[in-house]
Amino acid sequence: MIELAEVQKSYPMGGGERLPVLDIHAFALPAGKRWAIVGPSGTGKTTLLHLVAGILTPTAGNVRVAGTDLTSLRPAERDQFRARNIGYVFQSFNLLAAFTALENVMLAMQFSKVIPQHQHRARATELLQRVGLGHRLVHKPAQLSNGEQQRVAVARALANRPCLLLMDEPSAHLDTETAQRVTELVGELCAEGEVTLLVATHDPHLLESVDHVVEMQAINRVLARGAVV
Amino acid sequence: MTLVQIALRYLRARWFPNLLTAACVSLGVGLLVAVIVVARGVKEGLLLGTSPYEMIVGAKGSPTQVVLSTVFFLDVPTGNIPFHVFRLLKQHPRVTLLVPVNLGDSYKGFRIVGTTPDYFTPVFQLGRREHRLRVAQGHLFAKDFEAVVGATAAREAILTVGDQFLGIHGLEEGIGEQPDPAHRRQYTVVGILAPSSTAADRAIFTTMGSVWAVHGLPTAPLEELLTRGEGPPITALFLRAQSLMDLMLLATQLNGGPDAQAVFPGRIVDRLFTMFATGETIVEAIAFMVLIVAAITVSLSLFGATIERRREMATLRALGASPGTLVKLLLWESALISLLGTVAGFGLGRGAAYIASRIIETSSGIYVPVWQLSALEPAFLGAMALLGVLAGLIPGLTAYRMEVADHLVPLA
Ligand SMILES: Nc1ncnc2c1ncn2[C@@H]1O[C@H](COP(=O)(O)OP(=O)(O)OP(=O)(O)O)[C@@H](O)[C@H]1O
Ligand SMILES: [Mg+2]
Repeated sequence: MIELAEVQKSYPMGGGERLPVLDIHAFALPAGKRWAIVGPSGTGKTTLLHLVAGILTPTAGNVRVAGTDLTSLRPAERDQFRARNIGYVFQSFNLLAAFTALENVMLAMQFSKVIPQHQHRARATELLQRVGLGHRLVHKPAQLSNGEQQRVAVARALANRPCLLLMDEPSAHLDTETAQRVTELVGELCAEGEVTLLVATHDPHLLESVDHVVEMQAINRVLARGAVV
Repeated sequence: MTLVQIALRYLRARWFPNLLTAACVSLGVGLLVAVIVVARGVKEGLLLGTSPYEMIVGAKGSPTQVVLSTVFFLDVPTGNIPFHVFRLLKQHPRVTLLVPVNLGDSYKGFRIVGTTPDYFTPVFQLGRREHRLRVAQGHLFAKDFEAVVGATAAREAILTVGDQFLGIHGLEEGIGEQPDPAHRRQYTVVGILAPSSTAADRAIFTTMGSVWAVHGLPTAPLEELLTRGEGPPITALFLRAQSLMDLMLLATQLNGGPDAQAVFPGRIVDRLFTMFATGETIVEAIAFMVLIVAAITVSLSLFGATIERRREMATLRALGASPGTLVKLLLWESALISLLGTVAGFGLGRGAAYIASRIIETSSGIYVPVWQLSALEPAFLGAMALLGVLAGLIPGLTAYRMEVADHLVPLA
């Protein structure tokens, strides 16, 4: 499902210097399982998920998702690929403030064009019911609690029937218990839909609801050199 | 949801600044529309008022003054022309319409105009629109000191059929010499005209003889004076002739003599407008500048919005919206703001033009039509739409070039 080969990512620091964040020799995840990637804060988990989602491009190397080399796509193609194949629950959810929970989920379908237009409303309603928000459809994000916002983000990420679901730090804005419940729910949903799940976290409590755990330190050579953290 | 619906949602989320921006646009549009509409209205009003007459014969002096004073009863006449000019034209075989007017007195600011029933026959025309003078109550004057009152004059001076009134000399009370008290006589209202949207609405009509009599001039019935071959002077003559050639010949003849001048009212209106045109151009230029400022305001406001909404736009991108979709979204937003402003501006401009036209009509008697759509306005709407879209381009471009990953995190 995910294959990274000789991927490097560094951020510009000003003055022409760059901050190396990732240097991954090889990293591959087969489809259909629930994975967690763990590591302390600042070790590059979000950067890795962004690379896999095609939101960031690597400084060097190749990223393949479901057989497609993201680095070879043009930006607009990458946007479409992501919309159609990858669901992403962001660390800070990133719900659209001007739209209701229902509309947030529907908008995701709007841009990907995977689901026929006439099914959007019904599917969005159903997904929100699945995450326990059937009674909050018309509320805007500001009217929802953090946990509820996160569940809207989960529903939105699953809207286009992705083959890969990325979830960044589910416990960042939640207490551990709630985060655990959400992760479990997401795990169930992924198992039902044969969706590969990749959760990035530094919270060991969340690891129970996944099948496999990957240590950031084990794959990121930058950390071995001690440049970050 | 369509892109337009998304755009509308974002506009509603920032409704107050967007409303202010639209108000800026509407001011610019309103100013421009008002200037265009009023300028055109005044010109049409002048053309309408002079439309029945191909030529005006008046005393020597400013031709503009001749037209404004005799047709629109603005300004004072340049003087009088001798009776024999009237006789000459009356007997001229090629003259098809000849309307004499005598100006002198007034009542409560409304001109008392000595004329003949011929004054009421021609049709005032502008394009397909026709205005006729019609007696609504009573009848036309038949004898001296009978008066027919224009609709507005009747309403404002509170005159009805059967009323009597005394004219005063000149246009304003207390100014100018009083008419010879020995000759003062009361007028009797015998008729009221229907509203006609011409200068006749604001005038009072009577016989030629009444005006002469008030000024102590020896008079007799017009036919008698014509056969006798002499009579008192006349202020002006309106005429039509069988052909343009006849008019040219008459004009040459009259302008060559010492007694009168021939004026072509259409030409005077045109000349007036080339004079006004410079001023109009300046106001139009200012209005266009206001429009550009309005477009910049739209641009600036949306630019602010894109900065405020960086994270939302990055999210839209992450959800699969292409950079081009974001540009379209912003173009829609700016077009919608501009559209709202333009529509409101049209209303505002038309409203202002209407108020201006009322003021011009009551102060000058020139009928100013403002309800007709001009060919300029759709063109103008298109130009504004284009400006609106252009205004969305700069914010659109920033959205286009936005780095998605940088803006997916909450603002610091
Ligand atoms: N745009 C950027 N420019 C410069 N440095 C960045 C940028 N984004 C991330 N970094 C740096 O890269 C490193 C890895 O960041 P990343 O967000 O991937 O870590 P993380 O493992 O997700 O941490 P956390 O658990 O706190 O979310 C950090 O040191 C961070 O400061
Ligand atoms: Mg992170």
